[in-house]
Parts: sequence; structure tokens; C-alpha cells
Amino acid sequence: MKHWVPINQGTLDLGRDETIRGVHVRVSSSPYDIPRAIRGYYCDDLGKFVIEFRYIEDEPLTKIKADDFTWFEKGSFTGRIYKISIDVDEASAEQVSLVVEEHNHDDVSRVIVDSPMASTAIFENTFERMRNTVDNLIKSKRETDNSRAISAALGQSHESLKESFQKIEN
Amino acid sequence: MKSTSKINWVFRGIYYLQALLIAVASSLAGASQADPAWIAEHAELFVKPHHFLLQWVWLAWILTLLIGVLEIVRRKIGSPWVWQCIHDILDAYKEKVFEDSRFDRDNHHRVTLFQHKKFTLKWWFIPKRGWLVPVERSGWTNRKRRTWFRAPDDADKAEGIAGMIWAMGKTLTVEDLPEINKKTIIMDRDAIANYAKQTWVRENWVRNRLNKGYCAERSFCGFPIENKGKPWGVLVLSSRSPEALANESIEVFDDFVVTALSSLLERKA
Repeated sequence: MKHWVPINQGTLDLGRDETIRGVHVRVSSSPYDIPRAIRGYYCDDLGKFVIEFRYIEDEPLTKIKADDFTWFEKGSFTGRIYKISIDVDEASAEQVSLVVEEHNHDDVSRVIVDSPMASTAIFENTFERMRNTVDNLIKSKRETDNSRAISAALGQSHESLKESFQKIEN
Repeated sequence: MKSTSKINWVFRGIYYLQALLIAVASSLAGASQADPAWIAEHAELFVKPHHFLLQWVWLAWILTLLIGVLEIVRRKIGSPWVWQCIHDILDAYKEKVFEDSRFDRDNHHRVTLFQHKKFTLKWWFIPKRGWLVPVERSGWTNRKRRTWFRAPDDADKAEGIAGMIWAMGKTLTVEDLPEINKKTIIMDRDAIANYAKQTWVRENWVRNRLNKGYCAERSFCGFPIENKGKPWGVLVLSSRSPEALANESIEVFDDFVVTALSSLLERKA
């Protein structure tokens, strides 16, 4: 299933204090750089675990290889990350699907993983790889404007994912 | 600032003028194609009008060109209903963000939409490159005040809060600016310098504004506006209160504002 789940922007905490030309200001991401919703699923055709981000506006996408297993699809105009796909087959995950559901009206996402062969470890590895790749983008100064927002959004979903995994295992 | 009634009048005027020009151009083009012998034989009444139109056939090309130019102008102006909607959205945004100050005067808190112009003419004759021009503002007062800010290709030369937001492409919040007024120009020059530094403008510019009787805002917040994935302008919230913008509703409500503005700007023409 591929439900879009709204991202709770209030909890992303993207603001930071900076000094610009000697002036102390509060800086945070542009509203256009913050993903509005997220969804994750296993794409059978590609054999990849995919996480997609939805923004206020769409644009043409360009595919970029981040490392041996990870691909980004970025906006051609803005460089925003719209899609991250990881070759989980390479990581020994044979079948994975991610079901994302909205939880009540508080916009807190609940992520349920439904796969007979999926294990917490595989998802933890997959998720960590995604986050590390995005974090490396920030550190290596190849940072796109919204890398911080993506990293924060993944972090928000990751916590929900853990909960869901524990429920399945129980 | 765009006056909705003026836009409406100009937009409709151009529309009707285009319709008239299309009718005239079509008549001229039709006359050039018509067979004079056939008209003389079957429609004798139209011989003289046809002869008259044939003398002006060359005008069809100029009229076609003019229709095209008017279409560009009409698209530049944008539909009046779009600008009315944008104004209503800015009003609603202001009401939400400055909810606690709703009994203050209209001009104490404002939301202004700036459009970035790569090339524009100031006062219709001075060419300017890379400026942020206010195109719409919340409320019903101070609508004639049009302060432009530099936002050239060289981001280091960007001026004002609006210019800095444009240069950075991020949301900026500046609060607790020093209180300055006309008396401060003589009494406390450091305050003027401090204010100018904190808002990335020139001291002389601040002094001139104060001399004209303008009051200086004490807090600002703004973010960039995009259209079809490309930078279009900036939206700036300003207040005379030093901490009016320390409000979570800015972040939460900007989602609605940005989505609505983006949709409207796409349909502007």
C-alpha cells in the first residue's frame, strides 16, 4: 500500500540561530523545501525499497546515484529530494512493503511494516543507510536546500516505524 | 500596490480592445482573400467597402502584432479575481498570525507580497535590474507605499529583509529591533545605525523614511515564494511590536498560504 502520510512540520525543528553579515537571525527552511507528506513501499519491478516525499509543488526529476545501493531523484530546478530508493535485495531483503497510515487527527504518522520476510534489522539497516546518505550530503556540502528537512522527516518516520515493528514482532 | 478596481478596469479594457482588433484584422484579412469580380456580380452593395478595406490590408499585420503585445500586457497584469484572492489570503494570514493584536491599527502589522523583477522601470523611465517590488499587501491602509528592495544576481548586494530572504531562499525571522522614530535621528544616531545594520539597509535610507514620517517596524519574518518550481518573490510579515512574530502559527499557517499563493500565481494569466 502506498498511502501518503502528512508530516508534522511542527516537530521537525528546522530553525537555527545564525549570524548573517553580523546580524543574529533565526533561519529555517523555506516552506517549499519541507516535504508535506511521505510514503514508503517496496517496488517489485525495481527490486528497491522506495521512500517518496511530496511537496507543495512538483517539478521534473533527475536521477542521481548516491552510492552503490542508493539512488536519489531530485527536482531539476530546485535540487529537492523527491525520492530515495535503496536496493534492499542487495541487502538480503527479499520482499518488503511499507504501509503508512495516518494516526487520528494529530498528524503523527504511524508506520506499519507488513512483510512475512521483513525483519527489524533489515529495515533498521535500510533506514539508517538512507539517513546516513542524506546526512553525508549535508556534511559534504553537496547539501541541497532541503536535506535538513528530509533528514528530519526521515527521523520522524523512523520512530513510528520502530513502534510498528515491535507490534508485528509481538 | 495593485489596485483591484484599476486592474479590473485595465484588464477588461485590454480584453475588449483585443476583441475589436481581432474583428478588424479578420475583416482586413478576409477582404484581401475575397474575389472582386465575384463581389461585383453577387454583392454589389459591398463593392465600395471591399475597395476601401483593400487599401488598408497592410494594417492587418500591425493589428495582429498589436493583439499579441496586448495579450502579453494582459498576462503581465494578471486576472483581477486572482489579485483579489491574493489580497484576501494575505488578510486572512495577517489575522491568524497577529491574532493577539487584532485590536491594533491596521498598519501596525502587515503582510506584503514582493515580486522579483529581473528588469523593470522605476517611475516608468529609470531602468532597474534585480529588484523586489511590492505587488500586494494585507489591509486597506498604506497601500500606496511602494518600497523596493535590491535583489540582484550578486546575492551579496541584496538589501533589506526581503532581499536577504530572496538571497538565502530560506525563512528568516528578525525580532526585537531598536525603537526608532523622527526624534532618534538627532538624539540617538547609534540606534539608527544599529537598526540599519540589523535590517540590511543603508542608514541614509532609514533616516529618509523617518524624516518622511514613516514608523519603523520592529520585527520581521518572511519566506520565499515560488511559481512552478522557480523563485518568484518573497512574502514578508512585519510588525511594530518587537515580539509579535514569535508565534507558532506562522509556521503552521504558512502551509495553507504558500499552497494557495502558488496555485493562484500559476493561474495569474
